[in-house]
Amino acid sequence: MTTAPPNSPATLRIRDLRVDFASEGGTVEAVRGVTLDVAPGRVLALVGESGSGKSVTAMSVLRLLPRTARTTGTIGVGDQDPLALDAAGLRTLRGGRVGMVFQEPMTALNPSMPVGAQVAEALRNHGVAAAAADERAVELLEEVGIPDARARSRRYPHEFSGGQRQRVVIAIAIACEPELIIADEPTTALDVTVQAEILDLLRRLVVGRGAALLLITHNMGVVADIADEVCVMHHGLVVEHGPIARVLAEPEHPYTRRLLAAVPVLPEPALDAVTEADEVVEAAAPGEDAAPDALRLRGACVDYGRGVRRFRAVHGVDLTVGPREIVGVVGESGSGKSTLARAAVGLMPLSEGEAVVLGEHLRGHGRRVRALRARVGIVFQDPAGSLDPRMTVGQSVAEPFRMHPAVAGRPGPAERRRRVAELLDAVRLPAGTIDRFPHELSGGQRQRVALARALTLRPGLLIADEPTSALDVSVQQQVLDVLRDVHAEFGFGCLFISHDLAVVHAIADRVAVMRSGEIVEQGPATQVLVSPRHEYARRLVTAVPSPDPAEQRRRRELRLAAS
Amino acid sequence: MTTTTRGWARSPLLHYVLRRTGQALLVVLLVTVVVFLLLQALPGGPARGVLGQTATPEQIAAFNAANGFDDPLPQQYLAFLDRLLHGDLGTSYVMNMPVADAIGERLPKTLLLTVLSLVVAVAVALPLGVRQAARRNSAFDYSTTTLAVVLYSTPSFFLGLLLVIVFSQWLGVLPALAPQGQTVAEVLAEPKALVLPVLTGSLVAVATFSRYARSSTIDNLAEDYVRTARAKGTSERAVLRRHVVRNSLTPVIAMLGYQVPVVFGGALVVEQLFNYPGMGLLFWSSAQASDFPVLLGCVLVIAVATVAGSLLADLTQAAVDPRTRGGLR
Repeated sequence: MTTAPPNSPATLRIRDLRVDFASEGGTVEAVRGVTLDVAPGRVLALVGESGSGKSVTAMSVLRLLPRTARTTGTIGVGDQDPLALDAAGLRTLRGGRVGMVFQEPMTALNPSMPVGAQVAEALRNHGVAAAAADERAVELLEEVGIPDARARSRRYPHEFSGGQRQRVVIAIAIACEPELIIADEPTTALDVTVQAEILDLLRRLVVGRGAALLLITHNMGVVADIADEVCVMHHGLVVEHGPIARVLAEPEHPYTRRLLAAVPVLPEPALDAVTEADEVVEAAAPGEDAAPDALRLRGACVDYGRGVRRFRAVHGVDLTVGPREIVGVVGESGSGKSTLARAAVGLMPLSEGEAVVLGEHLRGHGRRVRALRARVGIVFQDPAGSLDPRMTVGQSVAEPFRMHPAVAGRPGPAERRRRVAELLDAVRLPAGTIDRFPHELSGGQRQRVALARALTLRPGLLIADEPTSALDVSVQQQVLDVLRDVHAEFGFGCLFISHDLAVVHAIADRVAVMRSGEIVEQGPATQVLVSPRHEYARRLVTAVPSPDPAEQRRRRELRLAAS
Repeated sequence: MTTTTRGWARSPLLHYVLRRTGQALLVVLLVTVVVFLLLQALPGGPARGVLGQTATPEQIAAFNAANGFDDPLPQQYLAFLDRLLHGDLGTSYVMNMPVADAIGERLPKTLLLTVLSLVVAVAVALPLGVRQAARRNSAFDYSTTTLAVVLYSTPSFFLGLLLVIVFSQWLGVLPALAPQGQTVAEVLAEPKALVLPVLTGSLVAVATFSRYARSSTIDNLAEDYVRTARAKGTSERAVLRRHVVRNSLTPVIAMLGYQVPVVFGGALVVEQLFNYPGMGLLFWSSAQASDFPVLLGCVLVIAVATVAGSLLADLTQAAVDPRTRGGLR
């Protein structure tokens, strides 16, 4: 992608880097001998799942690890070894020769300091006079694409969107023209359209300035989008290293192959292929069935706040989830998709319109609605937060029996335990899990417990709100497989909320695209996610990076042509 | 803030200020109702207080009729409120003077003592807490934290007595008696005599505030923005001074506003211990003499000060935090 003399000296050289953390349970080896090089003008992606040691590797370049870390090996940034520098030398390196971009733009900036001053500080730390630093900060903010930079430089971080804050963080990182930029999951917390913009920006900076970029990510699409080379990390080791075209197309190491196989892929967008056939398919989709629809929303509106401060989060939504149907709802943060999910189970009252669940109106707080709620299961994003840490898995899964004894048919203790064991088996958890506590389980196991609990009362409708977003790809795949299996076995209608279009494509029959509280397009999954007609849905689809470098180049061109 | 009138009218901050002030006024009004009802409940009512224990029922009836004490309660309450608004808190028949005058004479001296104690406490506690956080788990942190816990759990009368023993009895460098002057100026003329009362009042507060400052600073040091600051080459000193302190100490300073009742409780002990003629001592002696009008007058003043203090704390916090300053959600 970018062109640099292949034999120019590397900007960053890491040789046999080892990092361990002293902890109460003994020493944890986070990085176990990593060797890599990044040349000027090149992008090296460091990929791997959580706990693989990729962030620790990146942080050790600037010695930003906690004091409990013990680092050995050598790191070279140009002619300097950060591991051998004293405090003053380290300060010249940090922000001077190496700029760093972090994962969480929402918290990476000081909330009580204007953004311009935060950019200027990076310059002043490296010897630029105050007035010149302020002036240069404005230029930098302009360069990273903050509109009206001069006036906005006096504003505070909370007045900027997530994407803009990440631009500010990037402006800080590039302020002193560093020869190396380290970006640790720079787009993970951002919406997909914003992610595309930030990646474009980073690419431009690398090409334009000839800096080296070490990019840490778990997203193969991001790798395909901007990297030249990729290092795959697993358990603190680099298991595979090479140009992206080779590694992504013909991975050699079994772990890389497993990792790539687990990534759900959205098919190539076919934006011109809107045919008559599609129209027919859409018209036929809400089939006339004997069973009542799992969920029917008509003109549904949900408001937050009252009076002048009222905010309409969901606006006139019509949506039907047929019996046994999986309907995906996609959209960016703030589009109202989670609010919609909460309204569908009655956790948020509708201010207008109606919600019919399994043929009955969801209204009021009476016994009828309580019984109706018993027939709706819900799975949330964060399984660690939604399971009671003091209840065993068995108690959590059996809790709905206690809450709705009538619906459950008043099972006795033995019967309950038998049914819980069945449910755990259905979500493919080992039988021994029943007496364990949530903290003893992994994230994917916890999410399967949450799923089992949602299925305890054999719901007719399951609401899944970003159920896999907190999980690594391989774990995500397991959870999706389990969801598909239990759906086939139990046969419920499912409203599946996600910001990840590829995940929705992998599981949903039909898809609705939300934006600013409204559904802008809905129809069969393949049609909406491959050849969407609405302008916004098209933008969303083309912004998703594909893990296939050739395909990603095509999408990038499509997107740039569209904008 | 230099916004236009239209900007002000729409400003959520103004909306917040008005709402919060309205709540504060409502609380004060409720306090006056409670104080009024307590005054009504006095044994024998005000007539017994004025006319003495030997008054005949006829005399009392005549007094009540003449002073409107036979009117229905709501009407009496309105009259009471009207007198309050004109600065009339009733009369102390023990001291034979208006309650407002008794309090007015003592209040400035108590304010002097407590403000001095708070200033000293804040000036010592905040830098101390920040330093403890910056050198967390060092010998310095452990020793000062231990000292703070000891001070925190020492009753202030005991601490005061210890200070008197050490500095007056043994070393003989400071007087054990607070200044006895009638006015603030007279009190200030004897600075040496103020040292021990102020020290007693501030030591416990130092322990409290430094613990808050320490934990708030530790929390802020773990924030992502600190890592960003370090990654751009900011020195540890500047990270603390420029980034952390402002974010970590704002809530601590705002917290001072909530300390009014604590501070008055402390003044009660300190004034009694050093025989300092402030409101604490007035409250104490009135309680001894069953001088209920003065007691309730003090309660009213303290209640209003408490409400005003927490109002000030909330408004300070809203004004300092750019997130609320720009637009409160």
